[in-house]
Order: sequence, then structure tokens, then C-alpha cells
Amino acid sequence: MFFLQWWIAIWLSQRGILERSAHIAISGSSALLPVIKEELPRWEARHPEVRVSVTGGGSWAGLAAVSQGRADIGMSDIVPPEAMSRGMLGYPLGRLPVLFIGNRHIGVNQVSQPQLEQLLAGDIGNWRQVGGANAPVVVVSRPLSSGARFMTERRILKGRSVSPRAIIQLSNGALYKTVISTPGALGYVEWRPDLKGVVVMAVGSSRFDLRRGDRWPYYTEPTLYVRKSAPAIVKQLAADLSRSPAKAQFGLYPAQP
Amino acid sequence: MTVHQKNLRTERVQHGLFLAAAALLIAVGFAFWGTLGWGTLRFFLQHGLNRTILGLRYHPIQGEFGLLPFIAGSLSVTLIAVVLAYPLALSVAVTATMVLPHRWLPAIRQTVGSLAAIPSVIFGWWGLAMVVPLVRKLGGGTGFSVAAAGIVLAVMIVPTLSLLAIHAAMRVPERWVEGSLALGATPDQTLGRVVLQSIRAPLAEAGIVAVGRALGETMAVQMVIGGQTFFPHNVFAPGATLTSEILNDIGLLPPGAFGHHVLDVMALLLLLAMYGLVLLVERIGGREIG
Amino acid sequence: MTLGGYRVDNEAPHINVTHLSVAYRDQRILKDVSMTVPGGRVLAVIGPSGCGKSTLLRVFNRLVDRVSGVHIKGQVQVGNFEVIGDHVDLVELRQKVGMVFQHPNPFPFSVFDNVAYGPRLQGVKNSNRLRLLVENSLKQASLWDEVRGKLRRPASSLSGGQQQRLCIARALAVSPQVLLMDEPTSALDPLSTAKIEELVLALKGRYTVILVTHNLQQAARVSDFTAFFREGHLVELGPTKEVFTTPRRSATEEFLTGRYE
Repeated sequence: MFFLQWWIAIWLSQRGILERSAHIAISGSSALLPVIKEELPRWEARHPEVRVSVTGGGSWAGLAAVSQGRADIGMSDIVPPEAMSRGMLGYPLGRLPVLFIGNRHIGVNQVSQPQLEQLLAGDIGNWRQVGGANAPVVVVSRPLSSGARFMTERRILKGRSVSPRAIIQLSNGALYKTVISTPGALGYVEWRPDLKGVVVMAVGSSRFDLRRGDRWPYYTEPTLYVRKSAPAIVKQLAADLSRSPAKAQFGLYPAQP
Repeated sequence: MTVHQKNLRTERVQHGLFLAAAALLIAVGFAFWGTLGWGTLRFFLQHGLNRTILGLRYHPIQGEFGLLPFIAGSLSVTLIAVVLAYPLALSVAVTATMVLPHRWLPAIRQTVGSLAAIPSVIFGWWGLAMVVPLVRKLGGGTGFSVAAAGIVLAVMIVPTLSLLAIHAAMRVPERWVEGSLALGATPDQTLGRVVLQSIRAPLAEAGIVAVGRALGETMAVQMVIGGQTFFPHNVFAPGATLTSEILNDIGLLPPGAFGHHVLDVMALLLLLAMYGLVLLVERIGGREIG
Repeated sequence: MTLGGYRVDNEAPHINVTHLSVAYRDQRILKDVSMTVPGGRVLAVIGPSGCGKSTLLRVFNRLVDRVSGVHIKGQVQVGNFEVIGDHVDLVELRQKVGMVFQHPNPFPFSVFDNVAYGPRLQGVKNSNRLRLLVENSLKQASLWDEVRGKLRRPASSLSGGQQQRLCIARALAVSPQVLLMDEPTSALDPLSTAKIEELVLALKGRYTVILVTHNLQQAARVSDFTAFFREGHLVELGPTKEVFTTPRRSATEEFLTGRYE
């Protein structure tokens, strides 16, 4: 019985390949998976001749896969280095806010940008030093491959690295959970619909407002990259995905003109 | 065609299928070793032997590939997990097979078996919610630590270990237990001197399987260990294991990136450790009960 | 002191059973059994399968307790030792009353460690004493000549008959006063059976032996007394010669002449 199902599955997928001639592979940042997966079925319905597969793996992996020809579209919220981007076209999706969040008991809800820099770099070790509670600062960060970390180190830390003593969490969700439950925690998350249980820090004079998210100055710019030499249908798909009306529900705000 | 001929043909086909499956498995195995070995070789050709396996500093972007912190992390997390889980699993097995009525045994085995099938990310979330705060209370600091990872892993491997220990304990014949009791041994003495004594080999085997499981676990460990690349100087310090660091860096070091092959080196180290364990299992497994 | 014309050895106690009934849940296994076994003698217990003879044996060392839902009524005394009751010291009882099982059940240890198991439980640690105890026990079980110099070999390397004598040596090493034997030769070949029977004869006088057996010739050859059980009742108990030649009950005669099994 098991073998029968197995063969039927193989047979069906073979038929699928034969009928649909084109196959497009998308790979890269998992932050973009939800919006892509939301839009893709509609697009596939309009293009029954094309089969699209989507995998995560991170921004760097996506960029490398596209530049090496292992994928057709790379999802990345990291700006690719010059050497890589030369042969590629980018289709930006907009701005994805990155928010700085603290544990509820730190006693601070606003810091200046230099303070934030010193906090994240590990120079300030206690919340007291920025007018908060007497609690050690515990920096929570994403790994080096994260687009949010890339942006934070460039914009807030001016090229320095996040404190080497930071707790590393792989996913946005795990980082959020860690900040909620760890006393003195400070971290950064990409936009998410739910920010209960943490302090969303105002930085300088900027305060995040969900309705005016496009005003928030710290964001990544998730972009779909394709090779310049790619077939028209691939560029078509990237362009269509980047204009998806579903973007708003995933926190992707339009770029300011 | 006679039934006999038909049977013969079916047998030939089956034989061919099994052979093909075995060949595929061997090929995949060789491909694995080959890929990792080749990657490791290229890593050493590119970066030399300095500042690599025995180094203490790890920063792949800056060309520092010290793996000692992760080796220490893997070893200590595994040690903590097995030391915590083993006595617990042993008591589960003894309770299930010797203390509780025998008709409960199938239900216990099913329950324990289903626990063994829980995906590790669930244990990771559980560790984040329960174990990290507990360790924070016990040892201070953030709670994200080698100890937290060890505890989460211990809970993870208890079901597997219990199941193996239950199987081992079920192999002890009733007549040895009766023989011991009839000589005036108390139930405790019988347990220690006959039951556990006679299944030392399968219990050691179970332990090695547990070590393998702990050594290879990735997701649950990553979520509670803290992910720092420094050498963990005590169990309440954050750290990383070979597996959790591979997970952290696999996005940063895609194939073709500078330093990508350090992942091959880490994976090869794990594979070698596992291979050593398998050899150990075989040596112990050779000694049978009886 | 004499009992039924036989001299009672002080070392080997008599066994008194008074109104003993045993039931598992609703099933009655032994029904109001009363009997006396003179000390230092061999009692053979015979009867058809399921007559309760194995249960009787397991009452004497209270191994019957391992079966859940068992109820025991009545009294059993080994010498002055009360066997039945909630507060009986089972360890002490089982040191007094040793047992040999139907299938040889040596532990998966060496010959030496098997025999030394009981003494070690009692805290004997001195290696010279242990060696002496093991040697004596193996000699008493007439196994010494076959295993001397091989004491470190696994017990499983011995033949079935040797294993059974090893189990007897193991039981004797605890210095019991009573030896229970549950069909000890049913799994053995004739030659090994003969050796065990010789051994039982040699043990006579020093130990009170209760031998459950299916083998009527064996009962006739080695026992002083024979008890015939049927459906949980003690039908007849008497000197073996009398029971076998002039049974008082017709049921006994029918069993002995093979009219039912």
C-alpha cells in the first residue's frame, strides 16, 4: 500500500513537470516567505505553464544562489556587495521597519541614537546609566546572516559589531520571546503584528507608530534580485511579486519618494 | 507460469530492490564522507592548520576559525544531558518493568514512544519558557547557557533512553529475579545485583545512542544556549555547540562564500564523533547476555 | 524426640502445615491442607498437573507473594519459625528455606559469583572465606570435581545438569535448613537426573527436602515420605513405601497405576 502511494506520487509529479514547462526557483530570506507565499498562488493561477518553488536559507544564501545560477530569484534584506550586484537587477518590496525592543522592567522607553549604539555594542552595561532600573543590559541579537542585524550594525552601530556577549537567536519570533522573558534584555525585531509584553523604544525623536510606519527611520529594504540575463518570465514574476497588494499586511511600507 | 516460478520471480525482484536500496545507501554515505572530507581538505589548504580546530577565537568573516569553544560546548552539553537523563530513564524503566503491574507496560511504552517523537523545536520553545528562567534563578546571569542546553537535551533524550532501557529490562528473565529472591535477596538487591548487572551491555549501548542523539541535536540547543562563540568557562555561561554554530552560520556562509568550508570541518568532526560512537556500540553489542 | 518413628535432626527442622488454604482471586488452589514433614527427611510431593503442588512449595518460602491477588489462610511453621503473616522477615525465611527451580536458572555471572551470590548478600566480603564457602558448597553439590580450576568461566558454559547442580550449590551456600525442589530434573537427561537423585540422597539428614516431582520412580527412589495431592486437597501422606505399595485411598492407587493423569 505504501509503495503504491509512493509510485502514484512520483507519477503525478512527473506529469506535473511534463505539463508545465518552466520552473522558477526562489530562495533567500525567510522574512519574506510569508508575503511571497501569500501572493504566489494568485500569480501561478495566471501563469499555469510556470512552476515556482520557494525555499528559505537566509539573505546571503539567496544572493549567492542567484549569482551562482542555483536559483532564479533571490530574496534578500541585505544590500549585496558591489561585486555581486553588478550582474543583478533588484525589485524592492518597500520598507520593513526594524524595532528596538526592551524587556518590560528596564525602566526606559526612549534612548538617543548614541545611547542605543553604546547599549547594543555592550559599552553600557547597566540600564541605570541611561536613567533606567538597576539591571544589567542583556543584548539579544540575530546571527550575522540577518538583514535586520546588517542594518542595525550599519545605521546604529556605524559599522561596529553588536556586543560579542549578545545572546543569539535565529528567528524573529525566538528573539521576541527572549526579550519578553529575560530581565534587562534589549534586542531588535523586524516588524511583527504583535508587540505585546515588550517596550518598543523610541530612538531620538522618532517614535514608532503602526499607522505611520513609513516614517520610522530604521528599516531594511527587502528586495528580489534576478540576474540581468534571466528570461523575461522570471523578471515578470519578480516585478509582480514586488508589487503585491499583500505587502501591507506584512509590515512592508512603501518607500518614501 | 507455475506458482513456484512466480514466487521465484518475485524473489528475484525483491532481491534486486533490496540490493539497489543498499547500494544507494552506501553511495549516499560515501558521497557524504567524500563531500565533507573534500571540503575539509580545501579548508585546510586555504586557511592552514593555524587558528583552526584548536583555536579559541571564532569570527569566520575575519578569517578566525577556532573551533575549541564549540567542541567544549558540544562535549559539556552532551555530558550534562546524559548525566541528568540516565538515572531518570533507568528509574522509568525499572518502575515500568519491575514495580508497576505488567498489564500497564504496553501503555507506558506507547506513551514514552510518543514523547520520543516530539519535534525538537517544541523542546526549544519549552526550554525558552521554562528552563532558561530556571537556570537564571539557579546560576544567575541570563539563563542562556550550557546548563540550560544540557537540561533541555536531557528532557529530550529521556524518552528514547527510557524506551531502550525498558527493552533491555524486559530481556531479564523472571527466573533470575525469582532465583535471587529465593536466596534471600531484597527486591533492591535483586535489582542492583542481578537485573541491572545482567543488562549492563544493552544499557551501555542505550547510553551511547543517547550520547549520539544529544551530540547531534541542533534546534533545541540553539534556542537556549545563547550562541556565543567564546569558550564557556562554566556551565552557567552561554556558549555554542558544533551543531548550533553550524545552524547560526549556514545562512552567513553559503557555498562559495569565504570560509564556507569551516562548516564542512565542523560537520566532519561531528561525523567522526558519531562514527566513534558507532564503533563503541558494536564493541559493546558484541558482548551478549547469558 | 521422635516423630512418627523417625529421629528428628536438630539442624533440619520439621515443617508443620495447619489448615492451609491458598487462592488467587476466586480460584482456590490449595484447600485446607494440614500435614507434618519430619526434619531431615525427603518428602516427595506428587499429583496430577494443577493439583497445587508447586504452589505449596512456593508457600514455604513465600515466593507465592509475587503473584498479585493471592490469599493465604492457615499456618505454616518451619521449626519454630512462623511462615505465614504480614510481618514475616522474608529475607530470614528465605535464608532458612532454599529453593531449586524446574529449569536451571544460574545468573549470567561466573560459576564462582553464582555460588558466592548468597553469602555476599549476607555481607561476607573476606575473599578466603568466600572461596572456602564456594568450594564447600560445590563439593556438597558434587560439582567441585567438574568445575575446579574453571570457577571464572561463565555459568552458561556448563551443561544443563551441571547448571542445576550449580543452582543447588548456590542454594546450599546460604546454609539453609530446608531445601525446596520444584521438579528439578524435568529439564534434564537421565544421566544428569541420576546425579541429582544421588545428591538428594546425600543431602538427607542435613536438610529437610521437599521434592515436587512428576517422576514417580524418582519419588520412590529418593523420598522417605510421599504426599499425594489432587485438586488442591492433600489426599494421602505416608512413608513412601506404604504409599506406593498399599495406598489407603483409591484415588492414590488410580494415580499410581496411571489410570488418570
